[in-house]
Amino acid sequence: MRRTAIAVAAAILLVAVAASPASAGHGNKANAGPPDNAQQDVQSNSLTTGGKAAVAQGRAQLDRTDITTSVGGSDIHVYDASYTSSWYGQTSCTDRNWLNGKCDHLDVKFNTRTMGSKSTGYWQSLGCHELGHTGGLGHRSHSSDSNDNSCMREEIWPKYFDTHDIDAVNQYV
Amino acid sequence: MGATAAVLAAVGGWLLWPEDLPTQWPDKASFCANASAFEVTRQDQISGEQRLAAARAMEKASPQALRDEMHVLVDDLVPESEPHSHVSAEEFQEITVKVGEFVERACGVNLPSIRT
Ligand SMILES: [Zn+2]
Ligand SMILES: [Zn+2]
Repeated sequence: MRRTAIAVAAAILLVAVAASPASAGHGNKANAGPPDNAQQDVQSNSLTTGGKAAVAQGRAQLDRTDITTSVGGSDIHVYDASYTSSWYGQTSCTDRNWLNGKCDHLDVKFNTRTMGSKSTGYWQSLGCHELGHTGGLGHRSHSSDSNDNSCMREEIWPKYFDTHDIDAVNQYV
Repeated sequence: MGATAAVLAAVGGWLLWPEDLPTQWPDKASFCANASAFEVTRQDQISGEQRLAAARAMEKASPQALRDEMHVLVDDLVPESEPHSHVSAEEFQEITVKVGEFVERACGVNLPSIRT
C-alpha cells in the first residue's frame, strides 16, 4: 500500500519533470532591452544547421521591421551548444547603456540539447523568438495573440512576427 | 598582495578622478539618490518616464561642472514630441561613460557597462 503510494508519487514527479522543458518555452531572459540603433550586425559563431536556419528566420523577421540586419560582429552574437538547462534559447544584453537601458551588444544562445531532435520549423520559430528579444520584444500570451500567430509566444511555435510585434519593434528604434 | 592591489586601485582611482569634478557638493545626497535608480539590478524595473524623472533630478542636483553633460543625458530621454537636441552617437557614448564613472565613484552606485 505504502509502496504503491510512493510509486504513484514518483510517477507524478516523473511526469512533472518530463513535462517541464516543453512548458518552459523559449527560456527565461526576456529582459534584453531594446537595441541601441536600427542597424544590427549579426554574427553567427560556427552554428549547426538548425542554428543557421534559426538565424536566417530571425533576421528575415527583424528585416520586416525598421531594423536592418547585416552580417558582422558589432551587435548580436549567436551561439549554439548543448547547454545543461531546460531552455530552448535565451537572449541577454551584454552591454547595456545605464541611462536609457538600450543594449549595444547582445548574446543569443540556442540549446542543441533541447532543440536537437526538432525539425527546421521549430528552429525557425526559435530564431524568430530570440532575435525578437534582441529587437526589444517581450513575450506574448494567448490573450493578446488570440489568432496564435506570433513567434513571441512561449508555448506554441509560430515562425513569424505578427503586426503587433512589428509595431512594437518600430516604437523602440 | 591584496593590500597592494587595494592601494594601487585607490591610487589609480585618485589619478583618474577628473580634475574639475568635486568629491563633495551641496546636493550630493539628492544626486546620488536619483542616480541609484539606474543601478544594475534595477534596470529591468524602471520605465522610460522614471528614467527621465531621475535624470532631470540628477541634472538639478549635479555639480556645476557636470551640468552640460547631464543636460545631454536628459535630452536623450525626452520624448521625441518634446523639444530637445541631439549629439553624435560617439559624443553621447563619451558622456554616458564620463557621468557613469563619476556616479560610480562619487555615489558608490553600480551601473551596467561602466567599470570603475
Ligand atoms: Zn523568450
Ligand atoms: Zn530625439
